[in-house]
Amino acid sequence: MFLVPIGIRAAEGANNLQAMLDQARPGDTISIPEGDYEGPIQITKPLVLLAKGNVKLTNPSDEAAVTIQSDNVTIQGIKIVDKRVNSEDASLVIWGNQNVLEQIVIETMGTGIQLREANSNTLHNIQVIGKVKERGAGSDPGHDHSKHLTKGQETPKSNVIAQKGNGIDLYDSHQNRIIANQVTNAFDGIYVERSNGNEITQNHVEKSRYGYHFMGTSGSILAENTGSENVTGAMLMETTKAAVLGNQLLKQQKNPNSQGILLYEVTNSKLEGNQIEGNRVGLYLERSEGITVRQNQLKLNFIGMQLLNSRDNVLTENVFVSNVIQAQAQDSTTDRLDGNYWDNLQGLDVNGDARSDLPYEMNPFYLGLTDAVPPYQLFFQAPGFVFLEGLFTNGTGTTIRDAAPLMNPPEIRAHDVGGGSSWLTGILGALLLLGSGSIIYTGVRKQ
Amino acid sequence: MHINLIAKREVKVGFRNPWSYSFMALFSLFSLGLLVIQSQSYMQGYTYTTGTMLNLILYLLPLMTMLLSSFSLTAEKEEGSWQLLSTYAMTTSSFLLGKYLGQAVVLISIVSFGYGLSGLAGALLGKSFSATTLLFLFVFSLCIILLFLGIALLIGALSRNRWQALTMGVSIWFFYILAWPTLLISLLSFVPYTWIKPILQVVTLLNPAEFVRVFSVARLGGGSIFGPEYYKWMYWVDSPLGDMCFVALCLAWIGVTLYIAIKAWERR
Repeated sequence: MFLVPIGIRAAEGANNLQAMLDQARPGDTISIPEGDYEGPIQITKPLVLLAKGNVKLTNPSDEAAVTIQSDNVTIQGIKIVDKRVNSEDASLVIWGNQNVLEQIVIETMGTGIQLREANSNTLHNIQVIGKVKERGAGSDPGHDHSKHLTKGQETPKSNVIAQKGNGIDLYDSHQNRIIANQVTNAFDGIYVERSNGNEITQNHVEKSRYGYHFMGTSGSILAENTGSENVTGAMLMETTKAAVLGNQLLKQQKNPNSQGILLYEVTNSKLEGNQIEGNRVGLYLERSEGITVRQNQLKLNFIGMQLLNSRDNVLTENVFVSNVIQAQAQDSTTDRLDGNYWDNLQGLDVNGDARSDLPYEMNPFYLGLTDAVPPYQLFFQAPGFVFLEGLFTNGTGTTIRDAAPLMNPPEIRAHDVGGGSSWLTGILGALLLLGSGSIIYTGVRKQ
Repeated sequence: MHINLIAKREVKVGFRNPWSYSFMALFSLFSLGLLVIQSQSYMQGYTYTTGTMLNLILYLLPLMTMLLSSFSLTAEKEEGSWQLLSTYAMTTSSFLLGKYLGQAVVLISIVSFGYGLSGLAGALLGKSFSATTLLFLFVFSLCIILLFLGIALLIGALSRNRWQALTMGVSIWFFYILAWPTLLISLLSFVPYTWIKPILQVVTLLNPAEFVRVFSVARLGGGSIFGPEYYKWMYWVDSPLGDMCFVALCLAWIGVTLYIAIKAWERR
């Protein structure tokens, strides 16, 4: 009862906004004055909506906060706060073409933006913040990509626990440009299904399940994006003609199913110039063909690269640095693989062509063993296991190998090694030395 | 009281033993080697370098501990000093506990010397470990020493002379460090599939080298590498409770090995 005046004002605002839209003629530009508004808003004709100052749109209804059912709509500068839980619709839904969304902030308990049968739209500078709190990490042992394939898109279950939605979700939508957006704490950051020719550049996704997720797409471009602390940085499945260029995927390592980039049944695509650092598995290829992997940097991953059942791929000029295991391969015998740099290579260059005449071999033993019996992963890098692996590799001749690895990395980057606290180390060292020295002295001398 | 005396005597005897100095030289060389390895590469978290370092330490330290300490115990028998000591009112437990403490001081001094030397050398040469890495390696080595020292005393109590102790020490080292995965993989091929994981988890707790390694890797943030099978384990290891249980497990290991050693010693 006491809320009535405020309610009326807000309702008025909402009415005003929807009324303004209803009264406007196609092609009009509408300035939205600063203030709080209530959704849902339906846009059914070409309009330009510009926010003047802070425009906040809350959504008390069960529908999407904003629905665009028109072409050539531009929305700029609004903030949407959507508290609906487990709803089918995203906070902002687009059914139309050539729309432009810019500088929009969306706080949501579900999916941020959905594009449905929507083509040639531009999404620029949008921030989607997932507000669903993380359940205990122990309750979710991650996600097995192979199971995923059978499930398709996961529909949120309708129980009390709020399920995360995707940041930006494309279905049957083509030639859209998704540029410089940010997604935090979502299910999948940017999810693209059955959609072709979409360009996804300079986005950032963090603390989500998959950063960039492609299912059954063709001709997608994923370039210069960044991702960190997701379960998997970029996941491409049943996809063809994708270009994954110059992305930076860091620290996907907490989850036991984490990868930097995962390719499953991907064909005729290229991965170039990506920086894949500090992940559990840097690059994972399974059942993929015709992939060109060039000039990527795989650094400080637990496993640099894993190849399974893949063929006719070209892997060259990549840099593998300080991964606990650089690369493993199984049943992928026909890959063309040479001229990569491996920092733990015991190379020998006899003829001076800057390539080692000793090959770099990838060991299939660990993959084969843990594929049959996953619990044996506990032996990862156990001293005895390294020993056993060595016994099984030597002279088998069936391993995947880089026949002509590079002696030096293609480009030498300045690394910050140690430094900083060296005086602290010195003091610690001196203390240890002093301690042991005095013990030895008193131990021997005391009588 | 007696424990204290025995420990002091052990430290004195330990540092008059030329073996201690040869191991000290070896370990110093080894830790300087680690310094050279790390200066080529990266040390943050679980990387190729840290993984390699842990493995090198696992190769060397258990063997060193078992040989030095079991020899010190068999020497008591061979040289007849136990016969002399047993004429005093002294219990076996205080004798062996004293031995344990004394040997621990000797071994920790050796390791501190090695790490101290490489820490200082690194700092002077300007390409050192980070202090946290040095501390991490030191604590890791400490755990290995304290756990294998219990085993070493058990070996010493069971063996009649140095040769027996040597044979037993090397066998145990080979079994725990080198042959462990091979043996387990071959033995577990005979049990039903669903038993493999629980058995593997239980037997891992029976191998100090393994459980210290797994715990250390998890502590370095690499727990997820052991796969979904152990996700809950790793999640739990990373919590404060995990630390406490790890310490409890180490203490239990030391306690049990020492208890058996005392019983074995008394039966002679």
